[in-house]
Amino acid sequence: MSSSGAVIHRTARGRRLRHVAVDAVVYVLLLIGLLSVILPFVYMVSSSLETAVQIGSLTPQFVPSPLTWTNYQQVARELPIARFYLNSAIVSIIITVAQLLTASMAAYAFARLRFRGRSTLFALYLGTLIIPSQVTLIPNYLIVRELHWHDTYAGLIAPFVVSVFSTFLLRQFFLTIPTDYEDAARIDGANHWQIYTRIILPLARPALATVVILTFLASWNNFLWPLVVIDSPSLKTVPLSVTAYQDQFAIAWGPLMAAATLSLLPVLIVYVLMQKYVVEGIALSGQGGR
Amino acid sequence: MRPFAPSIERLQVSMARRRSSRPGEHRKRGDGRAAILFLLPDFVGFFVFTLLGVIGTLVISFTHWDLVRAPTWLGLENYRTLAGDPLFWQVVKNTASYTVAVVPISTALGLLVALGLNRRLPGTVVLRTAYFAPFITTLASAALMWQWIFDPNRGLIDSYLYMLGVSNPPAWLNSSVWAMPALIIFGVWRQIGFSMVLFLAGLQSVPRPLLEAATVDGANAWQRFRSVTFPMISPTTLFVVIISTIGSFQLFDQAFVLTSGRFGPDNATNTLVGYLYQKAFVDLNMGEASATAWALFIIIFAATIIQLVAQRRWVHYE
Amino acid sequence: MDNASDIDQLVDEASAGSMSRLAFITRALALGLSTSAVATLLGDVEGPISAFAAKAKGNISFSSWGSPDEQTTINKVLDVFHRRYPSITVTPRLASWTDYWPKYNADVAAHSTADVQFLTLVPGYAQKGALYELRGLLKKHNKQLPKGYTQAQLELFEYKKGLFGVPRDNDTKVIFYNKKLLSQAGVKAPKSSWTYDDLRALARKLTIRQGDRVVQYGYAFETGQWDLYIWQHGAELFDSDQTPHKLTFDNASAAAGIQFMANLINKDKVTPAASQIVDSTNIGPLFAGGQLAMAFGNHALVPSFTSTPGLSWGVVGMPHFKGHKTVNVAGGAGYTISRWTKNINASLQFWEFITGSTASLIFAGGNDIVPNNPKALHSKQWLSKPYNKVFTQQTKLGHDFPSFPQWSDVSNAVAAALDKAWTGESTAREALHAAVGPAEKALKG
Repeated sequence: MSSSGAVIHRTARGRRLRHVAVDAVVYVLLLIGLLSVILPFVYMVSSSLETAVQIGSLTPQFVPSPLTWTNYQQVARELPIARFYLNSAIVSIIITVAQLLTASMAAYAFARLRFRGRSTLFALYLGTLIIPSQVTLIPNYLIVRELHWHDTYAGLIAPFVVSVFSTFLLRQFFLTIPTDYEDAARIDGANHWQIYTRIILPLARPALATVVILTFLASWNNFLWPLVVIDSPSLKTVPLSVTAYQDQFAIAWGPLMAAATLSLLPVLIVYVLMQKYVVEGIALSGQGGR
Repeated sequence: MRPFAPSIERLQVSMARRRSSRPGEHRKRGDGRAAILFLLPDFVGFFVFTLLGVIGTLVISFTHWDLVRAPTWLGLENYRTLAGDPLFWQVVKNTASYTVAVVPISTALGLLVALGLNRRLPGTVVLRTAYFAPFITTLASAALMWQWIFDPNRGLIDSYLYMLGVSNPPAWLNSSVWAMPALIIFGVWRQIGFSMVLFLAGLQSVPRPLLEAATVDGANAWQRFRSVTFPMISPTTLFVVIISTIGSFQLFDQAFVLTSGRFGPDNATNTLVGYLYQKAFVDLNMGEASATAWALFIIIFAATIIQLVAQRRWVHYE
Repeated sequence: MDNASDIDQLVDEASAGSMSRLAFITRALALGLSTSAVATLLGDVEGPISAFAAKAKGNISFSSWGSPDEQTTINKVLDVFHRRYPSITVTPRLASWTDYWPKYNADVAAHSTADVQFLTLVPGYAQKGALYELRGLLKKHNKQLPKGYTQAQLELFEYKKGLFGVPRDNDTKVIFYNKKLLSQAGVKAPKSSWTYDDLRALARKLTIRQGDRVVQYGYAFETGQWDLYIWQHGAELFDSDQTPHKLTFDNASAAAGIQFMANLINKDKVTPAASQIVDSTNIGPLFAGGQLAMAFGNHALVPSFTSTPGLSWGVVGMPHFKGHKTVNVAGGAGYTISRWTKNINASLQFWEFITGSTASLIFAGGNDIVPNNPKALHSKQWLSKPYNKVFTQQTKLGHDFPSFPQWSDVSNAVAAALDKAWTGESTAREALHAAVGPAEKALKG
């Protein structure tokens, strides 16, 4: 892309001006949308700092006055919240790491290897996604009890070490990675494991970061499975701190909002940390426009 | 745009060339051994905790099982019961109309937001987090907020409509006609963050030099999107569409919390999984619940096949 | 709660015989227990442990739902039990109402439900064979069913003449009113002899609007309690609430009860929109927030109201329709024993204790429920709170609650059809008529 310097200069400036204008329009639109997406989020945080009287108000107050911490104190007093966090952290981290490994390996096979029955097996994987978890819950619980893993960390973790969702996600992303690098590596005698670890995984960092975000979020928020598989209070997880306040006749909205706000913090932190990898221009920017 | 036409052709040729070199296709031998090793860890977990349970529900769907007494064989009876239940067909219709509305809208909006946030603008980290927030906000608290937004006597939307002079604004959750649109708005609001984060990741595999080359060749933003970005992210789009379709067909939690567990009025917001949940956990009729799951399977399977057939026309793999 | 361990210690010291009767009573009163509670506790402390109880030992589990607040009361009961029967250890499985049911049903499938359980919809589980039949069990061990329960109270726990549980509490409904909002509107507090027309007139005076927006509602009731409004208008749901063969609500009398309530929402507009009043979970906060003058509800709302600073409230019994009797709800949840328990002796011992008057009094003190144990319901400790007198009086007006395995199915079918009456999209008469088909189907199971 080299031609006479003056022409490039003129079009480049015009392009930059247009760019700024487009950026400004996009920015304004995004800011307008912002209000509608975060209003419920703001509402949750602000009502966690309100008294029952304020929450019961017909018109929500988005800036509580006066501010009160009593809901957080009540949650801390009534629930072993630190223990819940420890359990959730252990479970979610192990599940996330395990899924990164199992799903990326299987995705490599589905996206890059040629073997008999590949499409049939993949269709089988996809097919199981359709059956809702509400109906496999009880068969799975019976399996876990058969294995005597109920009321243990193993029971909380084992069913989620593998995820069809993550496998599918990574397979789709691997398919968008150009084969050029691998072809070169293969000529240099690289085997599949080397291609997987040295080429595919580094190139797939945005996708892997996405898997971390979504898997961590899903296992952190997982509610029904821990509820069913755990009896001991010492093994309960964070989502149960929110539902603890949803009783038959009365929902304690203040403590519920406080527990909900607290339960979101780790997910937000993981998201903020990971999103920079999601949007990291991947190594292949160097090539392409041939 | 005339001047750009040759360049588009050039790009398409280059991509077609790449497409023809699909993985492994130049090799004669299969990768069977490697495939087994790469798949094994995933498959073991998949088999024990997914496939067994799924097969279990298939078997149960042909039986009567009340959880306590041993299942008794019924053959196709549960499926016949479903087919004869008007409520079943109503929830199928509800779920389908929810899906038909939410999937395209949330996918398109998610893509738009991702395109906007893929720029290097100040404050994008905050914006990216904000747009993801609906997807992670605890449902119970989000639902409380939306119940207020939709309230006919004091809610945000109807108060605004009154101000605009609308004398008879929708009753939203208090109307069998408007409850589903309310649920759809809630669903789109929640789903945007999910498709956005996937599209953001997908957009990273669009090589910038390719876009720059297109710009130099005089392509405007829409042309760049049509001829470069969209084809390059189409596997991501396919993923988003399939997962959102399955997710929408499995809608349960959101309808449950928004209607205080009632799926009302008069089942206007009841869904297939809501119906299934009632059978499984209230009636303890696991046979019919499992049959409902497999009816869902058949419906989604058909929808997926249509998508997969249609994808040949718009999805491009590297 | 320190109180629990204090009671615990007190019982402990008393049973060691190191304390005079007077000292025991004085200290128990200081802990906030009334004389009758103390007396019952004392009976437990001094009474000999039976030969049966001496045999019972080991670990058992106990499942119950309740708010975190209610769970502290349950733990208090367990503390006292462990003091009294040190050879038995009860491991609690406590959860909120929302969490309780998926877990309970999964455990039913795995035959691993807790040995002793707090349960509702008992006939359905009894029919499937998940519960122990108690009359036979008690007879086998030469034990008596606790006296004083009415037949109506026990019917909720019966299936084909077998008894599978006894009630802990009664779901008695009352109307809470905000004293400040009433005096601001210049109206007097209602009396328990009032009619629904009185309620309507009062609610209209107590509703405040600004333009099209409601800023204060007069009255809120639960649409989920539709059965009560039918009974209150002198109609019945079935030919029999235990062994129904026929639906009896497709008529003008039943419809009139529902229509009156629906008009409060859609015509008079003194009640929040139907979507907001499915159950008491939104009504409670609205009342506590001072934006609702009168609220329908049960004793579960009391703790949140007492803990709201500046909220001054009173309680009045249910109104009646002119020409009809005052009717309330009878029945509540109760205690059952798992069919799959591996330690029936310890389970029975604990079941006896938790259904007994000591446990009932501790629950009554917890302020979340109306006790169903006859001794506790009429105890001085319970009646010392003025509002509890209204609860006790209203409990006597309870209508037999349907108790047959398909009830929850039938109830869901009718409730769905009634939605359109609550939203004003159809009349109550039309909605009830539309309910007949699905309800009959559900009744046949």
